[in-house]
Amino acid sequence: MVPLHPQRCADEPDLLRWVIPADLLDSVGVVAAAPPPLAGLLADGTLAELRLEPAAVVTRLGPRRSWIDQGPRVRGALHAALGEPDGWHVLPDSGAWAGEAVLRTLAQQLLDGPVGQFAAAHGGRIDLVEARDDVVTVRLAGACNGCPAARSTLHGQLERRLRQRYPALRAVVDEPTRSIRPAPR
Amino acid sequence: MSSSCHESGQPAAPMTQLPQVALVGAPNAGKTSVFNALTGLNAKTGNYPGVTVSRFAGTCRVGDRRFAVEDLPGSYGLDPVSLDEQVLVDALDGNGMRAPDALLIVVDATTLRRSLGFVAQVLARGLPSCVVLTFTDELLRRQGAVNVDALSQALGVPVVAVVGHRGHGLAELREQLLDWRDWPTPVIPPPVDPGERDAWVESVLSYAGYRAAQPHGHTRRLDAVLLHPILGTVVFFAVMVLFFQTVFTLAAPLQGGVEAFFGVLSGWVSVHVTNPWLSGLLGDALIGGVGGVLVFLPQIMLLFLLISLLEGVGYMSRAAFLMDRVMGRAGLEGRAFVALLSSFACAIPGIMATRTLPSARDRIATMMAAPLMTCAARLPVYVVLIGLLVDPTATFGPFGLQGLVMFGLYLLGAVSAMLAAWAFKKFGDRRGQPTPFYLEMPPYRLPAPRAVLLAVWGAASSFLRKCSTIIVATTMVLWLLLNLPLHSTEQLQAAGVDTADSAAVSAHVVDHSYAAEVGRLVAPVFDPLGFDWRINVGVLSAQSARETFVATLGQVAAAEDPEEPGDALRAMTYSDGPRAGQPIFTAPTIAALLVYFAFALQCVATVGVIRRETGTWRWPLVAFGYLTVTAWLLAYLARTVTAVFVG
Amino acid sequence: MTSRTFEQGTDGRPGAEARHGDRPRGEARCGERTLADLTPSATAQVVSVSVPGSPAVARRLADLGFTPGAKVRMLRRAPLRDPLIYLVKDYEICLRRAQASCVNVVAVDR
Repeated sequence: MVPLHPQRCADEPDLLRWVIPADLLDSVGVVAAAPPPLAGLLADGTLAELRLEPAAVVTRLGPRRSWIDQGPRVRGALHAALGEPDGWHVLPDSGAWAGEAVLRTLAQQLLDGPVGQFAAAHGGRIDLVEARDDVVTVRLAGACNGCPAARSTLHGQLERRLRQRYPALRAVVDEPTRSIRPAPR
Repeated sequence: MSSSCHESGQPAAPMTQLPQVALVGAPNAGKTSVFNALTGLNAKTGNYPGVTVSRFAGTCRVGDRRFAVEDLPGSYGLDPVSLDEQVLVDALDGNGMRAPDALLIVVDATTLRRSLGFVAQVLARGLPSCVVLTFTDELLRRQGAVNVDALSQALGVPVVAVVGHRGHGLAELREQLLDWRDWPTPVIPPPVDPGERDAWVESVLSYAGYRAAQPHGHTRRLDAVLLHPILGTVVFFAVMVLFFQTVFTLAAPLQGGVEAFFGVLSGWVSVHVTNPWLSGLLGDALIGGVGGVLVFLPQIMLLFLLISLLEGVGYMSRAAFLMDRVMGRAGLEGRAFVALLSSFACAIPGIMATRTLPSARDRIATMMAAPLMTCAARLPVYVVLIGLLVDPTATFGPFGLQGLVMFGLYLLGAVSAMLAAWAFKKFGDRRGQPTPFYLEMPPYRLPAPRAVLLAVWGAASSFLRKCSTIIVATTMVLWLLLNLPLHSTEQLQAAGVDTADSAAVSAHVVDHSYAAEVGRLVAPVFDPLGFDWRINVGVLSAQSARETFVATLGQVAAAEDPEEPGDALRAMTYSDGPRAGQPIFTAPTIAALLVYFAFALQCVATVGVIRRETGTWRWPLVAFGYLTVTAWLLAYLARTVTAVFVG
Repeated sequence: MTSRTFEQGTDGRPGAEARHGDRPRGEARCGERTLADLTPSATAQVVSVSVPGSPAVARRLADLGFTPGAKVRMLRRAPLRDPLIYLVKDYEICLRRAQASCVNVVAVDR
């Protein structure tokens, strides 16, 4: 059976992100056709939409339904459908939505948004260097550079938020190559 | 509701009004140290209603808010296979007790791959839950890794990493407790189907960047020796000899100290309280009774110190592994070995040590067997009786015959204990299904001093609190029976007793006490064993504690021949009845007495501690009944057989 | 429901506990191996767990990590050849032969 587990999407309760192994289905986009059990759920309105993202299947719940009731059915259908990866047909997203661009865009959004604001409030700045092979590299500047709290900021804020949107994320590293490891508490 | 009766001593706000937080987790996950860290010394031990399963509850204070915290029985899953696990499920369901409001799921980070299956089962119940991840320091040390935040995201519930013995993460855990009403819950409960559950576990682990710990090098190297078929067995017996020596020998001077202290105390009372009867009641009954309780403390504390050290290090699982096959013959499992071994010193710490057994059925069977092991209190009785029975110069091959008889009695105790355990396991409680045996082999760890001290303190305080009243009360009653009715000096002189000779007075008082009346009353019962009423009084007074028998017989004998009490005993004859004039202490009678003492449950403290550990009067009564009946039957058999041989 | 499963097993295996120490009962089918047949340091993969008459015990073995597909390595035997220690799901667990013989396995290459 394919390893998978569901995670909620921050602000959209009808969306559920099912994290799957990163190498299982490598296209990104709206699922046009899926193997029968899953297609059935789309047909009967249990699911409104099905998207593939890096290392995740995102399902949108049909109107007036709840995940508590429908979740186990959706999970069962996903298990069956992921057992035959060839049965999936995906309409690839154009341009910006392919592979690394997704990660780059998501990371930049966070640095421009809440994480960047947090750094700025402490007199520092975080710049995006690159996003490649599911690893995001950043550069700490200003007060962040050499600040011991910067590591936990990076870890706690950027990596957590980024992984929520992009489960395939392997690590956030700061230039040159310092990897963030979970620290013992 | 029903839980309130167990927390009757709770001060201030009743516990039932506080939010109830329960700890669940596998037996080795570090649940107890998290519980201890949260509750400190505010924990109380009790029993779940109607079952022999201990209940640990306490309160935890965070700022100005308090929580009732309960440490539920450990388990690897929520499909119960033992009584204890049934209690866990009933507690989660609120079946017969109040259901918890929130759960702390304690998980050992080094066994995460297995433990998440348990987490899935608990989360599926839908209670607000927080995962407490323990041993993260060990995971990192053994080159493992896990991202706590990612794990929390994947599980959909808060995750707090706690290193119990260092106190890391405890502040964060307390903070989390404050928010228990707002804890996120999984958007979909984890799957129930085993295949889907395995897939869920693997996915969560990979999302959390989990890398399993490398095998622990020290553990591998130590186990190569300690679990080696030959070396391991040698080391095991060496450890057990040391263990036994410590509980038996090291405790002796401490116990002597306690006895001496109470001896001085009661001496002081007899000097300063002039009314002889009152001084007897205070000095002998009350102070003697309290002393009789406290005298067990050194042994209990030493035993629990050693047990919790061995447990904390991880050797206890190894000992159980080595002994399991042998104990399996008696229907028990390896872990019961330590409890039975400690009972050689004293059944009381032995019975308390059954707490380490995970199955209630095994605990009962071990408790029923423990009083048969030859405890230290039987030793003086055996010494006196064997001295009467066997010529000290007699030998059998290279061995002295006295020593061989003594060894035989120890062997008799051990064998009958195993038989009793087997019988209770087989015929005892047929409702429960046999518990399958499985035992986690944790890596060797340094025990946390705090946990060890808390275990010792917990054992000592629960023994003192719960047993002292029972034991002291029974001692008082026995003393009253032995010393009432009152005899005035005139009455004594009228009876021809030299009132200046205290031994003669006490012999007379005992001879004419209610206990003596009872002794004569039960004469028909003990007559077939060859006991006369004086032995009956001794046996009855030994009912509070066996060594009293020697003192009582000594008193009686000393009254007749103060120079040579041994000769007096040997010369003692039946004073009435068909055997009047014949000597009492013949070989058949002594054999009957020895066997009677080997089997009978003549120890108030043991009865009290069984009551305390099982939470009901049923088991102490069963133990008392079956041991007394067995003692009588086998004593009769011993007398008959010996009579045939001696002629 | 849970309390039912607790009692179900009683009917199926009366006195099974007393026979623990003896050799596994003849439930291992021919040709298929069980965990009890492994020699120290051999590795195998779990195929199924079957405990006749006691579904709760079967589920418990699964809870302990013996799920289909799991890799198990036999580590050592006790001096009297029972019980046995296995490495499964990154931890060490000791089982009696009676339980180990309920776990059907196939050998795998290391």
